[in-house]
Amino acid sequence: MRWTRPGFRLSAAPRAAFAFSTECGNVIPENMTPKVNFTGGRRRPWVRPDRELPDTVPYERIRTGNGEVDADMSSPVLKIEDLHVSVDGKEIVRGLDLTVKGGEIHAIMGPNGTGKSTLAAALMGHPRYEVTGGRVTLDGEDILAMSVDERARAGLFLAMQYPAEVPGVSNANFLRTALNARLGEGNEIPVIKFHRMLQEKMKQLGIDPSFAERYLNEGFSGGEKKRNEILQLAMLNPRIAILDEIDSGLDIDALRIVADAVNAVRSPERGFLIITHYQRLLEYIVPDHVHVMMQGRIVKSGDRELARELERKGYDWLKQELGIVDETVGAEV
Amino acid sequence: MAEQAATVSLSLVDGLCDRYQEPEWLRSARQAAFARFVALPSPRLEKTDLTRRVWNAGPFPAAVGTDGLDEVAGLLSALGDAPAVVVRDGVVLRAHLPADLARRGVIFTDLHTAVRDHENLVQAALFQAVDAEESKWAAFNAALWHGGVFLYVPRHVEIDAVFQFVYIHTAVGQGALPRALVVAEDNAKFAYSELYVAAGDVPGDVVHSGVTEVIARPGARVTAAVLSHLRKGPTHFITRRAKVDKDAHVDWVFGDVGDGFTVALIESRLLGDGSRSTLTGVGLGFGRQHLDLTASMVHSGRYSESDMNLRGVVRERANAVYRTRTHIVKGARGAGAEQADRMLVLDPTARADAIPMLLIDENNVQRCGHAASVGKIDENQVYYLMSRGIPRAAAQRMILWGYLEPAVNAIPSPAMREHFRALLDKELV
Repeated sequence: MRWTRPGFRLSAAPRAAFAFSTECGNVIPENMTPKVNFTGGRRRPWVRPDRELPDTVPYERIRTGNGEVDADMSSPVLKIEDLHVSVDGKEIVRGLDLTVKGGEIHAIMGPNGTGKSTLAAALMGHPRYEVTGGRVTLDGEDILAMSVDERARAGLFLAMQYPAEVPGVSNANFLRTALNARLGEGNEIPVIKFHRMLQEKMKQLGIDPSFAERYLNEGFSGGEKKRNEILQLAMLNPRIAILDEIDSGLDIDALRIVADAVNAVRSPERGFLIITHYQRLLEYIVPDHVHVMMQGRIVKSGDRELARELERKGYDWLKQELGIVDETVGAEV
Repeated sequence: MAEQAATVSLSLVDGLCDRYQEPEWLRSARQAAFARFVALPSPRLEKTDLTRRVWNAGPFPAAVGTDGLDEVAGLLSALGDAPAVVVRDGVVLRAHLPADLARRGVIFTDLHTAVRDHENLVQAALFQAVDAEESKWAAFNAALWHGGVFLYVPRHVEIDAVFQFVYIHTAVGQGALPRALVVAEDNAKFAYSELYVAAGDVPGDVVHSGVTEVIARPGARVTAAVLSHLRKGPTHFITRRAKVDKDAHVDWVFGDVGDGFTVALIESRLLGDGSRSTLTGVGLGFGRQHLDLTASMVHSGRYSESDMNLRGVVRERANAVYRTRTHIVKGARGAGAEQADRMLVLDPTARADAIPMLLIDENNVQRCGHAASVGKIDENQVYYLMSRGIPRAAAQRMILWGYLEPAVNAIPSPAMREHFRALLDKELV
């Protein structure tokens, strides 16, 4: 096979030097100057050209058919004011205020049945969840007036607790369609570039390459579904990412991989809202703010220490402190 | 409502016999079939009202031009050098068989030429799978078929190319009565693909009755794609049956897009021990389509196996009945059968019936199962795709294509697959 030929192995040296040079402003150290190799110093055409790019090229810098994508590099602000949400006529979220800015990670914790997932679904616009009051804006734009797909294109992303299975639609096809919907007509990502990017992201997430051609979530294990959600997060480059119990059903290794992937896409241009039951996830993805939800609203906010305290002591001390008998929505006296 | 009288006469039969100078046995078979057609009352079907349909056909044109074929021009040019017979309104436009296949003993030509040049082969197989006794419309076809196709693959011959038969029905034709006869000798292996296209507005008040006979002799492997674009106007009848001998396999691919009034039957008679048959089907109905489809597997051979997987989509005011029937005859020991029938209803005005039927007369059966469902597009799936930025219409399309794609991909002829894909794509949502 060709890749076992000595010429290829030697040609690895200049590639390493190149990768180094991009990070250090084109200064190539003396000892890493490319040596003449069997290929005459010229890069063989079958050396994958993408290797010359640093591994973490944000996709907004990737050239597309019509040139550069003008991604909005400003810091996003998601502002939730006095939000009320009903499901089947029953009010679940009851006056929630929260502001998530780019670069911040907010964690929402709380016992079962306190409205955490309802908040996530309502922000994304699930048809079953009816917003009965309040305002939600992303960079001043009214999110609630938008359809689900418009919210997504505005930069909102929800990694779901129970993602739907769509037989017959391959992961790759789905992701490319979603990406192109974001990039807009005439700005579509070239197919080869897309696949290269997809393979790279899948590798980072420890996802088998065959994933690309498998049908969307069909027959995926719980862990695979969660990884697939994070893969989409990494591919779609949202401005505000909501992760709804992304840690449930993951073993410790998978949890670490998912957390690493989330950390890898942390940036000042992206804000996170992470919903979780367990403090463990927050050991890997360190939040800036921790909020506790009970009875459909945020009852306490703090920093990382609050999460640790909850892990140690449970929720009861907090309920006592706040005078809450039953934290479940609708069960209050 | 009084039954409409047939307006055709025996002179139409004699006219065809004279035009093609047919041998005596065929002339008498046609005449007998015509008598049968006249004698049979208009059938009463459970889900289809035939009382108002007019049994009319002819006069049949002796020559046609090539105008008005814009809709299928792409398909016709895509057929390329592959073996193909193209018939328009009963008149053969093209009959092409590559020389290397002819050298291997393959016969692929229009049925009239076959009767003239290979009379014994045709006589041995014609009416063996579908005869005039079958139904009023099968008798109608047996009496008046013209512009059909004959495919014969000799023993042990395996062909990679796909044999393609295209029947184009335009305003020129007064009814359409194509008949396809496919004979696979022992251990022959090949794929056959036929497409009935309505190009432009087809006349109403006439009958289209198509018959496809597949004879699979021992050990043969036949893939038969039967596609149609049935439009409103005529009354469409389709009868397709395979006789599957010992250890032979027949794989049907059924596809229909249209708004026609249709009664269709696809059946495999699993006669031989170890015979197998599968049916993969996809249908899309729109407008005021009425489709009464019966997909049937009749197991007589021991250890015979069958699988049916039908997927239908209806929108607007379409009404589709998908009946899947598995019959395991007494004595068919160790037979195995599975059927699945899924229908998607896109509009509240559309209607779909999925009717599974299992008739099991044998005690010793290895498996026999069915699944049927009628539903709407899953809103959770739509929401999920939309939550990634895909607009609703595009999301629905993706889901629909995901649902239909496996059956479309099973169509063996690339030219027909692409044509059919384009037809589906045009009429989806």
